[in-house]
Amino acid sequence: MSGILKKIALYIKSHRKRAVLIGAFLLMILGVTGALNHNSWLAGICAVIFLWGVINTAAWKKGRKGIEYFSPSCKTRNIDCLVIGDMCRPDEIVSEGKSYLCISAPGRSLKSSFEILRHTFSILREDAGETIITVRKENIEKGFHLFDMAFLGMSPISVKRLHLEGLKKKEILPLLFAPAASIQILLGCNRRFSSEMDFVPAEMERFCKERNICLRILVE
Amino acid sequence: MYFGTGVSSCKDYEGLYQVIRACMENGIRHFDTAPSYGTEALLGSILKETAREFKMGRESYLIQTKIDSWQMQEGKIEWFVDNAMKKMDVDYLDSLFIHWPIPDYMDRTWEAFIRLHQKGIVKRIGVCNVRARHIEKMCRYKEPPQLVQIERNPLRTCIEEITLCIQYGMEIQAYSPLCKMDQRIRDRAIIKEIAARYSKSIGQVVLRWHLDTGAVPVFTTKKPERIREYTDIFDFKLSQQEADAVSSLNENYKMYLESCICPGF
Repeated sequence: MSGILKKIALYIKSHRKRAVLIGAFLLMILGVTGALNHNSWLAGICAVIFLWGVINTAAWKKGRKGIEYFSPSCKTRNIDCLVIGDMCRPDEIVSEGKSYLCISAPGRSLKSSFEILRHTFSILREDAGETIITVRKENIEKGFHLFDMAFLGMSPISVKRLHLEGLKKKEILPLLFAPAASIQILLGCNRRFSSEMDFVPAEMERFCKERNICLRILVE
Repeated sequence: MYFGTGVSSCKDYEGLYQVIRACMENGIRHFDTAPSYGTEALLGSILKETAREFKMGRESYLIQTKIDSWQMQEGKIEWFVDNAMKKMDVDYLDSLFIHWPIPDYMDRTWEAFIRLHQKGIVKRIGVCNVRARHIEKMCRYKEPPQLVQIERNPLRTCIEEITLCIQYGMEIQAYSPLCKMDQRIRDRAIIKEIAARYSKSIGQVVLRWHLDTGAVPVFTTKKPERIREYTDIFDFKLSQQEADAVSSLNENYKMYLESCICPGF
């Protein structure tokens, strides 16, 4: 029995898209069968599971928004500004006419944003790149979140160095492990960040200076 | 020139054998690999076979490999190098590179590199994927790198790095030298014009540009006929004006964003 389960798990791992489609198809068959046989509870359960899967996948995809820019096949390079942090309205904080990429997730901490910057800054133009970090005051001291994993997981050595193996495993089920953040990311709960933080941590300041990055930290 | 066995090269014995045979026939004696390419063992055994065929000794061809990021994190560099040599069935390496300059593990890895160099296990040591600021910093080590390998092509000319390497007497190798024949290179009138002037292909002009501007291209292909094409570049030379015209395509475009693979780069 465990051998069969292992095989199924392996199949799902290597054919994720196909497994989701097969799963959805099976659920639909079950739902239709349940409805035809007047087993409304069966149809209901199937509908809930199906809906849960759809929302989970949508949240997972939204958390990975922007990751495609970091593929070797993407031609977008030398952008003017990186916006990293809590969900915001980038058009309001990036100067007009500048190209930008926004990597945001609900409640992202300063530590996460800096770590994401360490992983993504090469997409900035080298002569005068700018980074804007948006963070809510209550999240400044917090740590990593599963919505950070799309970017931190690009480098397996970071996952090991930062001890993020557990979060990496949870990454594909955001609705289960971070339901509130998943709903927020789907609803696009953008906040207004208008005031600059009083201090910039020395490590971040040094990092950006060495790489010609102009750093601004906006708080709410 | 170097033949690389990276991402876009053949990974099967027969395919790679045909390409390496074409390299040997056309005078290419330098071969590049890395643990992450998965070609160390394959390259080692094919080189042994082709060397036998061409009656060549070990000293007549050159193998270089790298230490990957995960190996830097693990430590035990000497052990990994020993293992790589066993895989390739060689008793020394011509060159060894740090694949990505991971800041957290650079110092201890480079110390191991120096030990391997001093023991004669590795003839030359170097570093890949660096910018000028890394080169400057590494020059302060007890032994600076002798080789530097970077992504370089007409869309990314790396003038600062080339100038520094020349100044410090380091060999500079250019990987992805043709930028996968990006349309921005392929369609440029100036390159087409130079190619027509010398009756060469665009690829040949770009490889010649590398040599004429101080870099050694590390190219790869799955087609033996391409090896014949790319080695037929020693009967012409670009003028300073032509080389400058190719360099003017620079837009600092890079395929591989360093910070994704090498956080804190």
